[in-house]
Amino acid sequence: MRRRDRAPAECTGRNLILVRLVPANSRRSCPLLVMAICVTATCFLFPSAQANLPNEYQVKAAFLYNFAKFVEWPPEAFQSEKAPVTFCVFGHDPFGSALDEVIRGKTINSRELLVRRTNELPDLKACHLVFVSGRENQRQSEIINSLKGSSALVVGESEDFAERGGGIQFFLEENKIRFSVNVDAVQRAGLKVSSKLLSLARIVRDEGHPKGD
Amino acid sequence: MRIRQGFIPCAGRPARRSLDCEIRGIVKRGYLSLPVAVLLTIPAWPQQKPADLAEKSIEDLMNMEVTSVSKKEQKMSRAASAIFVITQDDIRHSGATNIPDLLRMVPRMDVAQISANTWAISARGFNEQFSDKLLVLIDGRTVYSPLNSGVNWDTQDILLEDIERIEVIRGPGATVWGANAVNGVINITTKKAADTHGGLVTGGGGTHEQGFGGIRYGGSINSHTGYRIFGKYFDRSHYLDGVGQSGEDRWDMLHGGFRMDGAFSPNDSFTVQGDLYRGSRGEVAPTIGSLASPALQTVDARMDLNGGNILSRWTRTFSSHSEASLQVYFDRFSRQEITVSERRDTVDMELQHHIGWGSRNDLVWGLGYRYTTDGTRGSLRVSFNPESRALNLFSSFVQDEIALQPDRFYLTAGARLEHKDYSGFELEPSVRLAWTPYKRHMVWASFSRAHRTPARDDTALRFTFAVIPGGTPTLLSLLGNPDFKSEDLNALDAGYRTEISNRLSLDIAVFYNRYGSLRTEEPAAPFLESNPPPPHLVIPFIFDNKMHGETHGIELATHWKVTDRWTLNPGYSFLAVHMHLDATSRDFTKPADREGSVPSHQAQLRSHLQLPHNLAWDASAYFVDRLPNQNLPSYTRLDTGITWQPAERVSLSVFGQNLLKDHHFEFNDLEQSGLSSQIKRSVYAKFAWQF
Repeated sequence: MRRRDRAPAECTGRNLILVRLVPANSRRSCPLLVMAICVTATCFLFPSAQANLPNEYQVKAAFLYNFAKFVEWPPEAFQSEKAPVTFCVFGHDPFGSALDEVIRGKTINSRELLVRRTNELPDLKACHLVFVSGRENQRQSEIINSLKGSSALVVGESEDFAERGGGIQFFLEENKIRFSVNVDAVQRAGLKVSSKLLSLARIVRDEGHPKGD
Repeated sequence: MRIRQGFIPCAGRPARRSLDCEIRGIVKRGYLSLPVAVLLTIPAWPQQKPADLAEKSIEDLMNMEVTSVSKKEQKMSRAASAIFVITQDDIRHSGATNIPDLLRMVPRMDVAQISANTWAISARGFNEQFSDKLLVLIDGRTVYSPLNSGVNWDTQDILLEDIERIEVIRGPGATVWGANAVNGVINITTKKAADTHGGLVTGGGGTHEQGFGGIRYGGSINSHTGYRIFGKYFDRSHYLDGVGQSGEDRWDMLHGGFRMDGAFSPNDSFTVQGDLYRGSRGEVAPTIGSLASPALQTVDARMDLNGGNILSRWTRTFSSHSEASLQVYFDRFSRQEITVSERRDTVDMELQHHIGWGSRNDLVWGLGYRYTTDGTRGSLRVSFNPESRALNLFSSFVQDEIALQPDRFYLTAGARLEHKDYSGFELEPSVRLAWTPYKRHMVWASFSRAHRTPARDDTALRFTFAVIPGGTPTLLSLLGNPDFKSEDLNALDAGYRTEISNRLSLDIAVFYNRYGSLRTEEPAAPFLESNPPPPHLVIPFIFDNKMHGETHGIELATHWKVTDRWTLNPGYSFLAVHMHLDATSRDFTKPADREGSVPSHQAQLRSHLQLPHNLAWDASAYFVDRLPNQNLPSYTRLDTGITWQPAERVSLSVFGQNLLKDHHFEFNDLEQSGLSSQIKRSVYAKFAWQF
């Protein structure tokens, strides 16, 4: 059973934890009721409390950082020992400042991290991790094909991204972020993915399947 | 006092965090001041900052709920038809244990449960046990029976966890799908082998579901090929009839199968799947023992069901604009009962080619051939003459989607040409228009023609529904007509689909259907028959095509994400049926029978609520209006359940079904095979474990 971090921010239900701290042998249930009412009332007075659920792309930015931690690039992917690990966002950028903030000051294997945004396919040759947002799903085959010979980890979120040759694909399940890894694609790129990351992923293989139904 | 690592000192007792210490202090000072303290501390509760998120482990990130911005690429369907998609999420949240119950959530699918193992299911009217205007396909394999044009729902049993989606199209889909897709098409697609890796065990039981279980295992054979195998079993107990006696409608089924998907070149992919099943169901069936002591007796009849099928499909991509597929399947089944038995073999081959032509045309064309042969064994109650028959069906179709104005205006035109043994050549054209004036609003309209071609029962049936005893017994029988013509439909459909916001989407469809040559039962001259002895008189009612009429209605489906955790799906439909006899018809009860066998109004509301601690609460309510011709009152069905996911791969759920009334009838028609029983309130519990 995983120990879960008590996120303090949510309003629904968790506030009632405070009610339970009251000594159990109290026979004065009336004030408890008043308290419960006051507490749930605060939920309605402060609807923005719900906005404390993190934004999907803030969490995906953290995932990208974690992917880079658990993937090993071949040595020829880096120009020198000090060369930074480059994250590239191709086309539409849904992160805002979240991705920059996640990587600020962090290093992976003593390499710094860098974020670039580009709309040009040739620029992607210098990238180690390429993220393609769902909005770019018309171009996804183009992008995957142009990165075929390189050692970039291609991450996307459109349907069938992994089946069509992408490295990692995000998907949502009951409002939680999950991801699938195409083990054939990452192997072709010469990447070594840690077994820990694979154990949390849904494994996908290449499909000969071309145009979608 | 020794403070354990990770804890901070807090007035005598260690606390995990400063917030805990603060709270404890507040509580000690008297809990009436707590609400005040809560109000004061709310602004201090921090937002999740991206930098904080970077500190979290990947497991923690996977446990976090997020507000979704990308809304699972549910690109608003551009289909110019009244289409409703039941997703795997909808299946899980409904708590349904069989496919008929899942279909209730589709607006204007008329789903009425006759007994514990039989349903009357149709779309937009004409509902009866053997509804003949609905086409059902499972992974491309047609599952309606050419014996009576109906679907044998008792043998359509799929591991619900294997279903990828169920597309329900109301309205004629004859052009693409074939004759019999007159009022609707149900297309069930199972998950690809690549999506079902690993193992799954499910099981459960309850008051009506005496026991059920399933096991599935999937893996890869090599880097290009995946497979899965599954087995499942269920046993459902009986319901009671109108006077409290057992309806003898127990139902059990053992079913196993496999699926294999792979590619033998980058441009060639294939899939092979197969099933085998064996089970039985019961009913109280009216039967005729012999003519010597004639009387319609009811017996506890048991029907033995078994069968299997194997399907393979090869898809080849020629270019990014051109793809073709060849599908072959073989299906065999057998249904044995005291009143009638049917054994059927079907072979079907279909070729389809999808090609983008120029920059504005998207063309699909296909050729198909189906050969089906049956062997029946009848009784005095039901029989077919001839007992065996082989039928050939040749079909071809073409459909072109033309972008009159790319991304805005699409015109789809197509036609299907079929040749069947009974009906000769038949053409089924359709024209559809789809207009997207703004990004999230779509208006569509279509006109189509469809035919319901004669089935074996229309031409060869003999069904005795009453016996008048006496010196010379008299049988009242329905007789098939070898000259029976196809029923036809001209349908006008239109609809509007919109995504009002990220959280609310709406789908409205209206339709006007004109039917012709509908089946009636015309009394004809009585005749004497001496075989089987003793000699008896037969008063025949011969099938003919002497009714016409129209139906019209409106269907509404809404998807509303009320909060990030709570989704509501309200729906409503209205149907009006007006039937008229041709001048020469004498089947005076048929129009009222058709008009009164479907509810005018239907409404539904489904709710899904995510609760903390990995709990989810689902509820579905369905209102079904009365059936005037069957004297059945309206009813409301309520199903609700709680699902708990204690760990990533385990889920436990408890569901109650039909909770509002202890028991009620849903359908009671003279042409059923067995007596109706009352649907009872029930509860079941289920677990699912993935490994």
